[in-house]
Amino acid sequence: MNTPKYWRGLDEREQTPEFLAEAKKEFPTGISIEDALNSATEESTSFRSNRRDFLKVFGFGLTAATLAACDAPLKKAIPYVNKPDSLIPGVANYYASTTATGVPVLVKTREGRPIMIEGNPDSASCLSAGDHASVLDLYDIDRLRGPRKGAENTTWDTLNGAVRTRIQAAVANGGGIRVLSNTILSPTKNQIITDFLTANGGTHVTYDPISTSALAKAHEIGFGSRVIPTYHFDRAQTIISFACDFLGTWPGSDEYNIDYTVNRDPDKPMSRHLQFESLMSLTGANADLRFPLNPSDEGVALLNLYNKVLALLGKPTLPAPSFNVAMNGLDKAAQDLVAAKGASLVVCGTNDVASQIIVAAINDVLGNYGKTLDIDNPSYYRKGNDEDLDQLAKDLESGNIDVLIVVDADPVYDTPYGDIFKNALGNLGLSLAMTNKANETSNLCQFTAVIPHYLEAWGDAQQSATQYSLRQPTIRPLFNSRPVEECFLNWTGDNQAYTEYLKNWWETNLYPLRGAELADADFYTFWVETLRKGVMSLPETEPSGVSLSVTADDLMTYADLLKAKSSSGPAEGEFDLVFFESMSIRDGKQANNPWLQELPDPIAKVTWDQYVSVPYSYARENNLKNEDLVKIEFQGNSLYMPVIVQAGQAKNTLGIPVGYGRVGAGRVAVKANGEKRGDMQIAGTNVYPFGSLSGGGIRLQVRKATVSRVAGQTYPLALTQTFNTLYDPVKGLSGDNYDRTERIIEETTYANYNNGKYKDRVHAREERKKHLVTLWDSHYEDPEESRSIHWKMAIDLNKCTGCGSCIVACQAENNVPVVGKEEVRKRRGMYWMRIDRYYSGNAEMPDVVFQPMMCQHCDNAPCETVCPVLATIHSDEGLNQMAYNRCVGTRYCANNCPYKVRRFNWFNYYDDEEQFGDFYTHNDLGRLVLNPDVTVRFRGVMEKCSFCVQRLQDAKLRKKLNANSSFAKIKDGDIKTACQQSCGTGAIIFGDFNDPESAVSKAYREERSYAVLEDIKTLPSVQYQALVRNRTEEETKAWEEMQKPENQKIFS
Amino acid sequence: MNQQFLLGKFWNPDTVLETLKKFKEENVLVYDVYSPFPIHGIEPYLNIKRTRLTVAAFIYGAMGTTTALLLMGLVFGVIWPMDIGGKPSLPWPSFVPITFELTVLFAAHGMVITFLIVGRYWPGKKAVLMDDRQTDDIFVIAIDKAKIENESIVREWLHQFGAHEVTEKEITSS
Amino acid sequence: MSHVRSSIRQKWVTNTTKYGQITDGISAPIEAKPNMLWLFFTAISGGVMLMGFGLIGWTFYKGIGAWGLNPTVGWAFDITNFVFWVGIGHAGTLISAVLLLFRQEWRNSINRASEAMTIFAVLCAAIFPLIHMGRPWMAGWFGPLPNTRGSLWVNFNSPLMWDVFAISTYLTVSLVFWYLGMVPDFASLRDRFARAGRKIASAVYGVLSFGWEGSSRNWSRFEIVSLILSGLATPLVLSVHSIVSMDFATSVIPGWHTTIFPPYFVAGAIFSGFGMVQTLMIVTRKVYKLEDYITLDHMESIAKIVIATGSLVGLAYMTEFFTAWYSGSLWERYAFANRMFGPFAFAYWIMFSCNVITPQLFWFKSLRRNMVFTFIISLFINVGMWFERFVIIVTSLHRDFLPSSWAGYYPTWVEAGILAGTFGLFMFCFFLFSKFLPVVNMFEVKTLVHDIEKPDHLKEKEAVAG
Repeated sequence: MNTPKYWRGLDEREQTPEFLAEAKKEFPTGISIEDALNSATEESTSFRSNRRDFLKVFGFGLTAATLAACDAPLKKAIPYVNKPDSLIPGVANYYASTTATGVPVLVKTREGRPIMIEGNPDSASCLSAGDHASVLDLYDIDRLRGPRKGAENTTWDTLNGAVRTRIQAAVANGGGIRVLSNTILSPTKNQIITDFLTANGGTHVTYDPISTSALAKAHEIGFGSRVIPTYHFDRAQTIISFACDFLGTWPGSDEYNIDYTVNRDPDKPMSRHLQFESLMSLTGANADLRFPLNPSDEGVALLNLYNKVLALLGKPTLPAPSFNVAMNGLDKAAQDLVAAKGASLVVCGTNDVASQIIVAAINDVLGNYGKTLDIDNPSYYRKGNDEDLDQLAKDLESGNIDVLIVVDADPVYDTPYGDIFKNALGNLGLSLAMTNKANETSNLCQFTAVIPHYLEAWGDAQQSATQYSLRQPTIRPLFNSRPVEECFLNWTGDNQAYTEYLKNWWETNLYPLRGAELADADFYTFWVETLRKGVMSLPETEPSGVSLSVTADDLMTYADLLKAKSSSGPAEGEFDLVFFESMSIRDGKQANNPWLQELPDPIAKVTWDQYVSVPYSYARENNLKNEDLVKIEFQGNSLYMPVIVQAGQAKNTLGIPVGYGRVGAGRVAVKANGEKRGDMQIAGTNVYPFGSLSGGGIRLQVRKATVSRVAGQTYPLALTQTFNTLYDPVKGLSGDNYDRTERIIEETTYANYNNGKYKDRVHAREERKKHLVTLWDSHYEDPEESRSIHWKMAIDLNKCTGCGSCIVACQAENNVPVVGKEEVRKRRGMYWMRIDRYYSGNAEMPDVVFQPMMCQHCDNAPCETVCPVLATIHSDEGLNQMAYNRCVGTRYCANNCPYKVRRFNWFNYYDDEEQFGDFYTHNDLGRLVLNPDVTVRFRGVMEKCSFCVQRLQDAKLRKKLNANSSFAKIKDGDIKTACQQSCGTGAIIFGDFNDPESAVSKAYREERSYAVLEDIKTLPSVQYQALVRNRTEEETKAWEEMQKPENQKIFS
Repeated sequence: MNQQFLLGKFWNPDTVLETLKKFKEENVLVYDVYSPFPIHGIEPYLNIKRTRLTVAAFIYGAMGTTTALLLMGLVFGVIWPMDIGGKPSLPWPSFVPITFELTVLFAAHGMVITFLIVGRYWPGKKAVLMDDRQTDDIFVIAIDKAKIENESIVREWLHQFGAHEVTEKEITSS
Repeated sequence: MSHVRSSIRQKWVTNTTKYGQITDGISAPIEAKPNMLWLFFTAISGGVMLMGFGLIGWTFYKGIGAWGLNPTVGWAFDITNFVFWVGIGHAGTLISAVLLLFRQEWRNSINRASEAMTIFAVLCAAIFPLIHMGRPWMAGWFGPLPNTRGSLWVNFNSPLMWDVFAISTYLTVSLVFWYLGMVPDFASLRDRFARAGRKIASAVYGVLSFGWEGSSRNWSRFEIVSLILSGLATPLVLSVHSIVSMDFATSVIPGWHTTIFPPYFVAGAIFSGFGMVQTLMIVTRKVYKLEDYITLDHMESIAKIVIATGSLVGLAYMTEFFTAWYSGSLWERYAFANRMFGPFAFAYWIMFSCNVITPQLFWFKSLRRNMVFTFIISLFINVGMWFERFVIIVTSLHRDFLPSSWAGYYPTWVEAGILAGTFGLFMFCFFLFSKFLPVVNMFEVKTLVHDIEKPDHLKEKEAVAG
């Protein structure tokens, strides 16, 4: 923008070094607002503001944002002299909206800036890390600033003109028009595209990078409707999952997390979850029993399960080679399934029709359809059709396509047909990418139509047959972008604004279906109300009771297919290579998001890099260690990857996460592209091209891969946790192996929990506690001292699935810096909360436990005693407070913290472009995401979890305002910490311990409630509820045997 | 006014002591003795009373102790009571080390300063020398001529007891 | 005193029958022009010192991130060096104060140099608490910070705060003690230079000598003062390292949280200090030809103290391990097993062999009196004691309670350079000291001379007189 730059002095005008130096100081003398304003909308950010001026900058951040998008390029900064209605500076506003992936959310805005995404309480869905991080995408400096022709900027008129003419041309010579997109949940958007296509001919191809196409196809074959059923894990007592990561990366996992944990409470009838999978997935880590299963054996395993179930039901079985996993897992599964007939559920994550048919058959004979899975109210999360995509690729090759419009998708990167698209895009009559960020596809398209980030646009979504949600803009578009819908309307020749279209559509289609509470409301009221709530749910339609219609012969043929696959399984020394979604980067769409790049995968704990996970057994035999460099060869391709040794991974399998090797997606994504060493591209490789269409779906799998160590070479990986067990190989003179489990993780089995064995243990714990003495009575044990409020937190290890979205939520709320790979490798990651992941038992079939760990706000805090300058002291509400400005950085507190949860600013992590690169807080656009309620910490200062003290204060103030009194008693629900609100499963409970009715004090009274490292008597204000695995008596015996130190196969 | 001093110079501390012994018997008043190093057991001959610096040191020490306890007691108990690691606001055990250190600090420095004052020492003070080797290897017995009746006999004794030289010196005393 | 000394008392000064000899011998290097050797080594150590300061500057500029630390291992080289240098300091005070109380006459000839060592060592030590801070420019906050609300106070519970008091007291008191002891020698120098007609030098030492003239009245006060100062310095020196040890002992970290630390650290400090005394003395007495005042007997007595303290330290190690095992506490047991067999085992074994095994060789008289050998051993001791602190700090921190946060530690060249820099500073100061100040306490050594002879200058006079 060519704004007049006002300067305060010649120094600033000249940008003399002295001036810039001054500007970098901790307490400099001010900042040019215009700079903050402009740089938000300019590629070049020469001048950067300083910590003290954040609030000022942010005050104008709104104006910057607003002005940047005003119809006429108005360029004035208007301070809040006349306060806008509904906006009190310093008070956050919340708006209901819907993410790009269609998750209903609340958007927290400050002075007009969206700064945080929270779950929408009116819809049952908890946000993934990606959803939380999506707010940072809004302020991504790599976003496109306006429409483009090739690489040059252009105007909307030229673009629209070109598109219209080209389309007319295509229509004239009957050339094919294709619209390619990922699953579109928005009914209006779909409608508009359909209208466009009916007007001009052509088809709409939908695909998903990680596809569940086969699942849909299986139901098309079996039930006549191409749908993905809605799964009701909350209604299932037995859950059998084959390589299905329904808690982690599967579509709808946001809801399944909640449903799943409903039955994980050991005080109610507890569900039982058996997982059969090759790689260790988040879901597998949470299973009661997890059986490593090689992908090529999966088919046979399914057939055997089918047979065992039908045998138990006394029904005819299919011929299949008998097969079983360790501990006769399939028999257990079959028995549990039949025992819980109608309340059981079999799911399979493999994108293969035959497998899905068999799974559907099992569910069908068990009568689960209409109970635990529902095809009459299907889920719409993934509608991709791989065969259509394949067809499109063929057409492109044969040149029958004239116009290709790619709607917010990236086929060049995330399909196996990347090369075909690459070659075609240039030669088509028209190739147009609609995206808000450059990507591999848009870089090759003739035109790029810049669409707004979802926080800038109107829209709607339909997650399932029973739920619609609305999207409303929470900020004026930052850049010169136009919504997809508006573009298509324009090309169709319909010139009404999309907002109007949206309203009309809802009026005609959904207003009639409104619920009873709005029965006699006019449309306006309905609209406003729905907009406020963000979601509209419809009653479920009764199950039609339609059952599987596959003839015995067809079933037989599918069975044969599976058998055929299995027979061609890997020989010794050959591997099934599986490409999977990591929990942080997922399919790679958000690869340019530093929060996600630095978020460790909950299992592998790797940040910023791609890797290959190798089975523990193989690594042991071949003496492979983490970071060793290996060469993986298959079908003439060779990949070079650093090794992560993975416990519990099936033999003869390798796993490589997708989503890396992005070349066109921005400066952050490139940082995670590994290293070029000679002719070796180490890590950072795009593995989508290695997928292939087989069995009715694109399978990101390769068979018969071989792996070999690249002699003597290693590649550094940035892990946030390098030690994986609670016991240690270092044998002392006393010969014990230092099993710390007792003091850190309390876990038991459902059997022991019910037969009283656990009670003994609780008793022992209480006894131990009695022996803890202290020199003086703590403030807290002394009733005289008990204060009005005592904040405490309870975390239920049984409900925590370890997904890690709380970490990102915390980061967004508390302005936690991103430190980059080098620093993470030095173990200097700044996360205020982390999720510790420990393995126990046999490394081949380990038990996994996740433990969220943040400042424990000890009432006898060791850190407070040792701080020489009283920078950290105890508040009278039981908080362990940290006064950043007072901290001189001796790090004594961190040394003396038994939980090692204090984080130190070794460098100026928030503002050092030279060292960390120009993203996130290192430029003014990125800084707009910062939460003005939380100080950004300077170099040399200690920081840590504050229990979101800013939220506590806010809650108390609101309470006082409403109660119009100087004292406000806080009740549950008045306040949620960032991590708590992000945790849809409700694993994290927070509240006032002095209120005997509060959930947290109830939780503390539970016998499962224990404190970590109780024997140091730090009296933590965070307690955990013991983990209970649903295991039978004899499984328990085996488990107890395995837990004996001498049986621990130690590894780290 | 000026003082006239009779100086007996020795090179052996033993002879010095013998001389002083004699003078003590004969009631010859010795003004002072100057030596390169302390001659033990000389005090009685010169009627030097034991210095009271020890008492001073004790008092300074006591001041240190009170200062420390007052400071910490007031700050934690009155001015700024706070909850630090769940400890009571007056954690006496924590006060021990600082109290001790301040005691030593006050005692040591207080005493040394007092020593410099009573001995009238300050940087750059001009030294009054009876002999330019009295800080090296010569011992000087100084006698105020005004304070003795028979000078010659004293000179006699000095020679007799091994003074290698007996001279006079006039000192302008302030 | 000389006339009451029985002839069976050991001779601590050899080949000396005239007080003048002592003054001459000890003043010689001060009066002589600096020789090339001295210039060379002073320049070298000065260079190293400057490099050290440069790297400290770099740390201030970049941030503590320039070091290899991480949240798990928050202290490593910085505090290791701090404790190491403070420890070195202790021998000086011990020699000058404690041995004075015990009337150990042999201290007279080595106390000056070892006190100097104390001062310089404590200077080096004092650097680290300052630069290890994340925001050193806020160091002033260790004192009360006046503000609109009256004042921000400090935490008297924090061992770091105790350190501030302990170290400053220790430094200043040692400084005073040291200087006071030098006053009479300054007077001697003043008069020597005057006699030699070197006015400027005479004037300079005149200023330093506070006008000391050696009157018996002041001598008697002087002796009392020295006595009381040593009486104060003795508990002080014990308290200082006890307090330093409390930095660790009062924490909750296994391997730190140990009641044995105060005596253990004090013993270690004296041990390391005497190691350094050996290193320095052996060189000094050779270079400045002081064998007559710092005799083999001196070196032997020092060696004896080294055995004693070395064995104490060894005992402390054993006790620690026994306690850890006997406590039955998982954390304690692990901490010590990890020391012996963990990733930092090498440091532990270096420490053990250097501190416990090598000093035992001093049981042999021949070795005690063999200066080359003693010198080598003393170097071992210095190394070993540095590693002792490293072991205590790093191995305890890097694997404490939660395995999830266990981490490693690799020093960066910056840290290593700063350590080297402090050695440069130490040697630089010591070289200056040895050139411009009397390295041996002249007046105290004079008290040790047996049967006196007539000074030469008198003989000459008589000869002239005929």
